[in-house]
Amino acid sequence: MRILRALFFCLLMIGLVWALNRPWGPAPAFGPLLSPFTGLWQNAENAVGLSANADVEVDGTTQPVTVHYDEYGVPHIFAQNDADAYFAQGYVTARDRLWQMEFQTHAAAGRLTEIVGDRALETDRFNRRMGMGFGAERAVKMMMADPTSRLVVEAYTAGINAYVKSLKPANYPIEYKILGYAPEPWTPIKCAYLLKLMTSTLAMGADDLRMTNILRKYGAGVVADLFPDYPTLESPIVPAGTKWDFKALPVPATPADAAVQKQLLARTAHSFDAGLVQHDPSIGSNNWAVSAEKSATGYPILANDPHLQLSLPSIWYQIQIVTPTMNVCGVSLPGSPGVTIGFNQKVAWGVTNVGADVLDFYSIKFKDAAQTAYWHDNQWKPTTARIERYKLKGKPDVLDTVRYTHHGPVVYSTGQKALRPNIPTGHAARWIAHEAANDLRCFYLLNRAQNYADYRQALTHYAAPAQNFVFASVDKDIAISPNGKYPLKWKDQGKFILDGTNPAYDWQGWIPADQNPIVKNPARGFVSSANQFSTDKTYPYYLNWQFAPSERGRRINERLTAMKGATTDSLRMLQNDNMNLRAVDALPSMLTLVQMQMLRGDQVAALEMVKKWSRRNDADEIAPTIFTLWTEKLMEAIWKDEFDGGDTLPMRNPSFDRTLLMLKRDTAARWFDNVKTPARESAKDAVTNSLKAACDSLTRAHGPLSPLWAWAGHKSTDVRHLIPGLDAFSAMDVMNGGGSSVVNATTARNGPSWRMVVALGPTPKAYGVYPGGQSGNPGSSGYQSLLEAWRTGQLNELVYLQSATETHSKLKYSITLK
Amino acid sequence: MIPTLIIAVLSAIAQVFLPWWVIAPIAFIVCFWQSDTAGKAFLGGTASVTLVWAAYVGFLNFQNQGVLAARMGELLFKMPNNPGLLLTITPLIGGVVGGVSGLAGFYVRQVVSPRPVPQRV
Repeated sequence: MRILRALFFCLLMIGLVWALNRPWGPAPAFGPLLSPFTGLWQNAENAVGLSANADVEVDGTTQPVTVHYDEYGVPHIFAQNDADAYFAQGYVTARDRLWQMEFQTHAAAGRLTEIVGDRALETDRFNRRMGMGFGAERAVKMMMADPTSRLVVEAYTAGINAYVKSLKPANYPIEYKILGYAPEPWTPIKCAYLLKLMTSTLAMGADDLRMTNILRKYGAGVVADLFPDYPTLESPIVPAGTKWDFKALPVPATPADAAVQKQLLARTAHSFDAGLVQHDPSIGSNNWAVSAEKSATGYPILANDPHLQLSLPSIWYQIQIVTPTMNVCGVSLPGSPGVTIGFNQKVAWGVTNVGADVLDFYSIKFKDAAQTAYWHDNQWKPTTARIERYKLKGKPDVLDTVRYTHHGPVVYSTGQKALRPNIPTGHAARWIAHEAANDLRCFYLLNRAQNYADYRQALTHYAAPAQNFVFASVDKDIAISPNGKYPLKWKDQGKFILDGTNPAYDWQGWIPADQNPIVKNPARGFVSSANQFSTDKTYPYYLNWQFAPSERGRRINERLTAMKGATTDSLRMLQNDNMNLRAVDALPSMLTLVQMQMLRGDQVAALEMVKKWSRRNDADEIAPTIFTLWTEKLMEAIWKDEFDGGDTLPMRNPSFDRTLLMLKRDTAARWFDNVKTPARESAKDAVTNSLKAACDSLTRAHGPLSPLWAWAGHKSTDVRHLIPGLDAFSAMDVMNGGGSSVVNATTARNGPSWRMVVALGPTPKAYGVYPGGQSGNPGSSGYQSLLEAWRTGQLNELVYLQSATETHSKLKYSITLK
Repeated sequence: MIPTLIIAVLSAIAQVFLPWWVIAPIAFIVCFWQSDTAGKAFLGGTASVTLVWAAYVGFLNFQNQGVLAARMGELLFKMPNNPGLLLTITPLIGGVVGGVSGLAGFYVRQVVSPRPVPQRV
């Protein structure tokens, strides 16, 4: 009896420890997680923040490196040489953002299954089959072949690893503890993966499949009418009328063989068994620079706010890096050495995305099901096989073979299920991310640039994702260049799926880097970009048939044209400008067409509100909510019956610009009729019914018309943690204004991920903020410390030290790496 | 009282270097060696570990001003803005392990070399 009792309690003890020491499905192991000595409590940082100076013993620096931290947690690195500087950058970035750096590069490399198991398999498979690994391997080879970038990447890597090595499990970032894994050593290819991740975020847009299906269903006439190659309303980045001072290369001839086209359409797969993902126009950015004449300081002022999917830990990491030959300050991407957007004593620069078409799909004719050979240029050519091995947490590995043609990887073979419906099966992707390039070299040179010539030189090293690089210097030069490596294409090449058997459809060379669009010191006294068309129609090369909608760009140009004596504060105000130009453009037509007598109750009140509205998407206004829903429902009412083919025939709507032209000039167009009803609807019906539908759906969501319909609450901006569903580590329902066609481009999930204004001068003065904080630790008071300033549209003055011994009231503590 | 103090001191030191579950063998051994009733073994094991964990968690949470406890409380128990819950549960989990281990230690001792049942007066 006693033995049994003893045995029972021994087993209970062992069972209890065992159960608490292992994960249960997605639930973490609670023993180690809750133990105050090793678990989550160890991540409960002192809320007052660190304040004591410290010496950190590390191997890898040649001379001591001093790092001052300011009150925002921004490190200011003082090193005696490049290697020590980038070592220190790696070290301090890992100190704040280790988990994020590793998680993002794991995602880019298609390795999430190692952390979360087979629920990430389709995402991983998609990234790998798109050739992210293939591209990163080529990029790192080129990076390591260049002595300068090799030194930078190796020093940065060593710095990260010095930090990783110093960690005991109790010090791991909290996400490792929750998900139950450990950090691995950093390697140079991870720097390449991070850049590929940016390319996949910003340059993976492909409407080729959708446009091909529209061509198949409606023919070339409708495509030309509804999907034109240039919008009605536009204000291009390089001002219209700017002369091109180069002799353009001959452009490859457009293959004009109707039979080939027909054959191609027959061979092109058009259906997928996956949910539709539409391109999100609110991922974009703004930047501009005003000339010395336009500014109140007598020197140029530059502003930039890149819009991305808002996430935590924050996308950007503020940093200042000082060596005897450089003093650069701004934001970096954790995982990429150097400063990506920022300034030094002489120049400032910023970036916005260029929506050039750098991803095309080729229909591939395989010899047989083995897919070892494909038809091209009248012969069978061999494919190369790349074996992808997925390590699954807690399960055996999964192997996958990807066939590569000279175009690129065959993303999905016929019969395979596609993750995203814009990727056709049985088609090879030709994508700029596959090109060997050394983009880091561009940022290395920009960080040290002294003048316009240095800026031009730096830009030639940059490939993808193509960016509008805005520039201003203390020499009073301003410039902007939609810059990247662009394929030399015939007009509209890649608007539709391309024939992979015919060499005439291949990418046939590149636009020379010095012939990329650029404008320097234009007469209007400013340069700007907001992802709109790069140029007017006179640029001799084809970049794309569509860019981001023009409203933000037009509003910025309108304001900058009117601006005199610009200050950092007037540019800050413009970054937060909530004027909804889409409403200004469209409401006159919509208000003319709407049939008052058909409206009831709240619908009448809603219409009155829209009429009286200031046209600003301010946080507490109700009209922007109504207008946004109204235009959404209007687009649906006009196009859904003809252009929503569901999953079997993915198509897309014409642009809002094209729709507005129809509302203004062609109210008798057949598209207004809903072909799914027996009645014949007019433009008036579409406009009226969509207002009613908008009010109905708002009533369902928020009850009868009341302040609950206000824009900020309806829009409900969330800044979410990188792990989906981790609301506890996210900032939910951030109340602010903005909108997708508004300069302050804050939407439900996207928005200004960094706002910066730099006034050039004998000593530059800069301001900035981002929605988050320097610390990546949810248990730190520095995790969201910048969020409130961001929400209210404020900027913090950036601490820009001139020497390691300078005293500054905002400095808090220092560490010395030696 | 004595076993409670011994477990508290030993486990506090050991947990700095060893995995969290070192609390189980420590409570086991100390109660095997020191306890004279099952009740005292259980209470001693529970109280000592709860005390150590509560004190350390309390300190960490205080200097963190509850930032992490609030977030983790929401994550683990879906209860936002309730740092108290995690603060309470954490020491109890440690305590249960300590208590059960203490009890196991005492009962094994009863098999190996039984202690006399204390006289009731």
